[in-house]
This record gives sequence, C-alpha cells and structure tokens, in this order.
Amino acid sequence: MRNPFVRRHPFGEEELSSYLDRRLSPAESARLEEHLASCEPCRRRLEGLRAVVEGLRALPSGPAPRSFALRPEQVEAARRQTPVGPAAWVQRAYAFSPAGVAAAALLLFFVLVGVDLATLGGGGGPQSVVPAPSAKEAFEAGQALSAAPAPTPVPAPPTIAADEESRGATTPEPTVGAATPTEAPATVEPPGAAKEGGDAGRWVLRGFQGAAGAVFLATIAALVWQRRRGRGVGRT
Amino acid sequence: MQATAPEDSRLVALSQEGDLAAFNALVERYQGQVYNLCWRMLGLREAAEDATQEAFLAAYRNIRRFRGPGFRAWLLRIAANAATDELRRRHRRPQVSLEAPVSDSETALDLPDPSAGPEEWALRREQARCLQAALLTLPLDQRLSVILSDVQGLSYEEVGQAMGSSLGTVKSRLSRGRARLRRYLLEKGELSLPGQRPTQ
Repeated sequence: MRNPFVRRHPFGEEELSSYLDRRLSPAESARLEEHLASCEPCRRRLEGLRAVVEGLRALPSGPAPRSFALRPEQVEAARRQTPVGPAAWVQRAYAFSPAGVAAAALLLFFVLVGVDLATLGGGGGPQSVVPAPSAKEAFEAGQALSAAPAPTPVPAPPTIAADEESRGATTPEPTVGAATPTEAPATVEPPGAAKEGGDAGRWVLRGFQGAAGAVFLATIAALVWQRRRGRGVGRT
Repeated sequence: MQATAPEDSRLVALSQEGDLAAFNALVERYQGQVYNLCWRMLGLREAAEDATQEAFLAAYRNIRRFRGPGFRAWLLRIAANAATDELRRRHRRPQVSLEAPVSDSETALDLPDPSAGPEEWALRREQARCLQAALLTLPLDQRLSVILSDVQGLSYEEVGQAMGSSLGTVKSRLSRGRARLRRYLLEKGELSLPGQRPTQ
C-alpha cells in the first residue's frame, strides 16, 4: 500500500529536478504539468527548486586571482618526485586499480584454499593431514608401542607411524609394526617430526589464506566507502 | 558528451609531447573554471589556490594518459580530486574551519556584477554569500554535482564523465543536492520565490 503523501504527490524531487533540466520525456512532463495544475504544494516545491537553480546559475564566476601557468622549475620538481627507471617500474607495478587488487586477492585466496584441500585429500605426503585415529586404531597402535622395548613411551595417536599402521589395519594383516618390535621406535620418531613440519606449513598456508581474504574484504570495503564518499571521482 | 574542442586537441597533443608552452595555453584557458570549482568546493581562497595549482601539476604529469573524449571534463575531474584532497588535508590539520560561515574577505572574489544598482548589488551579494554557505553544508558528492551542473553549466553527460558516475547517479545526486539547498535556504528564510523577497 502506498504512502498517502506519495499517492497525493506522486512526483519526487528527482522528477521535479529533471523537469527543470528538461530531462523528462514529453509524456512524463505532460503528466507532471497536469498534476502541478491542481497541486499547490508541488508547485511550491518546484518553484523552490527553480529559485535554487537560478540562484546557482547566477553566481558570479570571477577570473582566477592569479596565473596558474606552470613554471619550468615546478615541472622539474614534479618530475623529480616522479620516479624513473626501476623505481617507476615498481610504482607502475603497484598502481593497480582497487577492483584489480580485490580480484587478485580473491583469486589468491581460492588458489590457497585449493592447495590446502589438495594436500588434505592427497594423503601420504609429508604435509598431509593426519585423521584422528579411531579407538580401534589407537588400541592397535598402542599394542605396537607397548611391544617395543623403547625406554620412553611415545604417545600413539598423534604420530604418523601409528597412523600409517592404523591405515594398514584396514588390511587383513593388521600389526606389521608389532611383528617387529625392534623397528617400532625407529618408525615412530622421524615421522612425528615431519608431521610437526607439516602442521607448521599448514598454518603458514592458512595464514596466507587469511591475509588474502582480509585484503579482498578490505579492498571491497574501501571501494564501497569510496563510492559513498563520492570518491568515484577517479584519480589520475 | 562534449568532445575536446579542435584547438584543445592540438594543444593537448603538443602537451603530450612535453610542450610546456602548449600546456600553459590550456592552463590560461581553463584556470578560471578550475579555480571556480575549487573555490566553490572549499570556500576558502588560499585552499582553492593550492588545489588549483596542484590540479594543473597533476594534469601535466598525467596528460600522456589522456585519451579523450572531453578535455574539460577530464581536467575538472582532476580538479575535483585536488579539491577533495585539499579539504581532507585541512580537516586533518584544521588551521581554518572549513565549516565556518564564509567571511567577507573570502567572498571578495565572489562579487556580483557592479553594473547593477547599489540595492540590487547588495541583495545579489547577500544571496551569493548564502548560497555559498549552503553549498558547503552538502555532502561532497552532491556538492560537486551541483557545482558542476548548476554553477559551471556542464551537461549531465559531462558531469557524469567528470565524476566517473552514471547518468542515473548524477540525476540522483543533483536532485538531492538541490532539495537540500532548498530546505536549507527555506530554514534560513533566504529563499526568494517569485513575487516574494527573501526575509532577512
């Protein structure tokens, strides 16, 4: 349901303003004039706008108070400020449009997510994610460790060795590690270190993902802010 | 959209080859409009002069990138940027308030045609002072579109080119700016409608 005011006065400021500039179509102008003939408030609004526009057009525009012609030394100073050679190349390289920066950041974000997912699903690689072992897997890994004569117990669930064994547990021969107790310590230590390295790599990767996402969001926010503040006026 | 005038095209081409004299011929031709835009945007003579000078320097530095179609709109776009930067710079270091009413010394450049009678001259001067004060209350985008369209006389298309905006955005900003000015002047009792003198 339309606002009663809008129903009584269907022409807004934009239509009245466009009418003053003769930017309405003949049909719209005719409708507006028909309405104005019987609507005193709209006539007053239009006359108010007309007075504003005429006042603005009548504002004196005097000459510039002095000459702004550029002197050679000003141009030279400006040229010195403008880097040449490699510095200019770097400046140009960074002179991307905000939309380009946003697109590049989004692309980088998706590439990094893709890399992350690929390593997650790949398995076997030194940086692959180790799934949490099930109770059965943990039990079997624990058996393997307890059979080993190592002086210090190694926690079974977080290690890749235990996990590799647990993956092996899906095969008909479940306890390869347990069958050779002397090999158990040797298979536990190094993969554990590799996993720590993999975790660190993953956190770095995710850090870059977050940074790319943050750059994308910040650039979009800056674009929106710029548009709202009238900074659509492009810079040269 | 207004294309670059033939004489401008020649001067622009020479300027793009580094001819400073040709560029200064363009400066002489447009410095009144550029200064006027900056002055209306900022309301202060010194700030407007700084912005005007900066605009021409920026235009000279970037003239090789100009590809048309309208040199005036391109130049006014640079001037609008320079004025906006100057405004922000002064807001960061407010030595003189940009929101303060325009003083007599600042309106000295804004005097109406002296050929009018003394009473008419005083009235027009007061109206000009009020309108300038009203302009400074507008948001920057509305202020710029009103100045470019109603004070400088650019077409909607040229305003769009100078602001990097679509025609719809230009219409919308212009109508909102005009409506806001109307309300401001009505509140101040300064709006003179036909058959009526502004109340003082």
